[in-house]
Amino acid sequence: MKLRTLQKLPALLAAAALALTAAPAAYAADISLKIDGASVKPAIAPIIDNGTTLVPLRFISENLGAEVSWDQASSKATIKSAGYTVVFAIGSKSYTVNGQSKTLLAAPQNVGGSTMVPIRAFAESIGAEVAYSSATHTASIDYFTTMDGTLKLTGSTTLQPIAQAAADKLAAINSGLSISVAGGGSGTGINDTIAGTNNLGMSSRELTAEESSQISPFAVASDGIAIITHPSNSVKSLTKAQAADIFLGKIKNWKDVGGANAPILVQTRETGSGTRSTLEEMLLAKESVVATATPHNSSQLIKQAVAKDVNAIGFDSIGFVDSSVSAVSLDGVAASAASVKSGSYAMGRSLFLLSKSAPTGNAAKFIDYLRTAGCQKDIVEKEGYISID
Amino acid sequence: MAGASIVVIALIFVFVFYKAAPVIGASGVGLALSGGFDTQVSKAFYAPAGSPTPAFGMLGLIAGTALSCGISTLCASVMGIGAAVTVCEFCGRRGAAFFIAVVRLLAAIPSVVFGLIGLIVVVPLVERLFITVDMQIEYLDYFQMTGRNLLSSVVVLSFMIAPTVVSLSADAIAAVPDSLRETGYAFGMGHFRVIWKIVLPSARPGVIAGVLLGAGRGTGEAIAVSMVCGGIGVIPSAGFGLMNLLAPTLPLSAAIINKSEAMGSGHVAGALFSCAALLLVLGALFSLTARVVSRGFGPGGSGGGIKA
Repeated sequence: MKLRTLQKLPALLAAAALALTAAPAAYAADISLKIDGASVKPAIAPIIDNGTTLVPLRFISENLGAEVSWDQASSKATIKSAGYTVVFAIGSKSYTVNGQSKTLLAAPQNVGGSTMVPIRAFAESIGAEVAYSSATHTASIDYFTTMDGTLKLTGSTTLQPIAQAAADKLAAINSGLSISVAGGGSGTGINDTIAGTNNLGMSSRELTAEESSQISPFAVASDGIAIITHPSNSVKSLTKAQAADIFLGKIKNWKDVGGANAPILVQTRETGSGTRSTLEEMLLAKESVVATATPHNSSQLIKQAVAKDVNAIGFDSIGFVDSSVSAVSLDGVAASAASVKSGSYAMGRSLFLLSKSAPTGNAAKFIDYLRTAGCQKDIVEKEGYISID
Repeated sequence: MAGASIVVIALIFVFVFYKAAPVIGASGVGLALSGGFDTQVSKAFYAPAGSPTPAFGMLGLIAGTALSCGISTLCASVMGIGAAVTVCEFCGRRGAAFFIAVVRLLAAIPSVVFGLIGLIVVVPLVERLFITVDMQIEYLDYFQMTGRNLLSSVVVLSFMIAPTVVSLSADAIAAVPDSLRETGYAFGMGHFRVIWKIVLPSARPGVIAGVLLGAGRGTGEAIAVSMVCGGIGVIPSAGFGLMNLLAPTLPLSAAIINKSEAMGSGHVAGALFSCAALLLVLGALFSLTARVVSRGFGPGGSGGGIKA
């Protein structure tokens, strides 16, 4: 038995070798994917149909910052990036880009619940470059690494740290690109965009009807401020008016808001903090926090001060709140990412990039870049903001 | 080399005063005689671009510097000179060498470590020992009474200044020739009388230089103090009495750190450079005086008279 197997060995080896050499052509599982130079591995592997490589739509979209919505009734997937709207239908070779009809080499199909679309048609339809190396069986999509020229952003100082971080990352991977991010406030951002003196504006407020008839907003993050107290403080909820009076120094004792007879020790951030400006804008009608409040230099320090003193009250970005402090409900609404996104929390808002016309080129890519899953996690959430879905 | 350092120092003075000039010009004498720095910074930060330089008042900060540095220099001098005498006169030569080495090590501890210990140990201790909830409620209209206050700053600063005082005083005491001591003993004086009447007067220039350098360090110290001071430049008021010690304070140096987040505004930057200018002048005064004193009374100098 053993001997016979051994005798068959050369034949087996030959068969195996044949199978291996044949494999790349037959199984798309061997095709590796690169997006902007980095290898990526989607949960559903690319497949080959009729000589065309199909890739999972949602996975690629997330990496390029485009948003996918799925309509069950018509089996249609709509992909929206800052500059393009692409619609695919399962089983149909025709698709549309910004309303224009085009034809695919292979129809999109459903594999294990994922919509698979031809890689070249999809990537090129939203402005990316696709290359295939038959030597390494690698399909590469280049989108954020093909930027050059300049881009100028002005506006909201709340959005500035996010935009600056994204600009730094983009400048690091594009040698010919220079991005300038300047503050000035949301008003400046909106006016500059309308006047056309920037490429993108930044705003931390919704546009008025008149403004939105001239420019279009793209939400890239949300921002919410939680009012925090010591976990063992019995006051767990405040009305918006009570909270404002506390930070203005009009209510000074916890017993006046249903707590113990103890002083309210207001903690604040130093002047210049974006979080403090936001609180003063959204809660205090642009008045200043009471002058006796103890100032702190960072999000961490104000949180620690509140975590240590049972009578302290402070504020912090919702993204930074953890179990060492307790976030007070405002008007009965808990401070959370969910309540900010739904709009029910009183101190939450969306942050927008603004464009005068439909964005193209660097401006479109910058918006898309901020909306990628990676940026939402590594920049938006890390800076204490709330990611968009 | 010496020429280069003089040029660099001159350039530092020129640069700091150049940056501070607009604010000093706009504020005039009020800069040193009026208060309200915290609100002025916040107003200047939100002022529209291109608005004229506002006036600032740093009385609270100057008082904070004077009180925190003054009291802590006093405490550190008592502790430090006492320690130097004990170590040099009662511990023997090897014991003295060991203790002085330890003290020098203490002087080398980075100030942020002092600040951290202050925040973790001194601040809660001060709050537990001296402050009650009733006092907090009573004073809340004027200031928040917490462990972050003048007293905590003084405690932390004292321990930071003391090593400088100890090591310079010990050097001066050790340099007093034994022949002087023996003369005292020959006159029938006891050990304490010899220390008081002979050793300390002979060592005086070195001791005073140590105290002045310590005071200089106390004035310029920023990080450690900014961590425990409370961050608000409350102007001490006679009506509060000893409670002034339990009020938050903001010395000039700590103000530069605490308010640096608002430096995006040119006016605030100018105000902080005015703090720096004041500190620069104070620091220069302290170290020049220390130099003059140690020269003037030094060995062979004219002032080192001993009265037995």
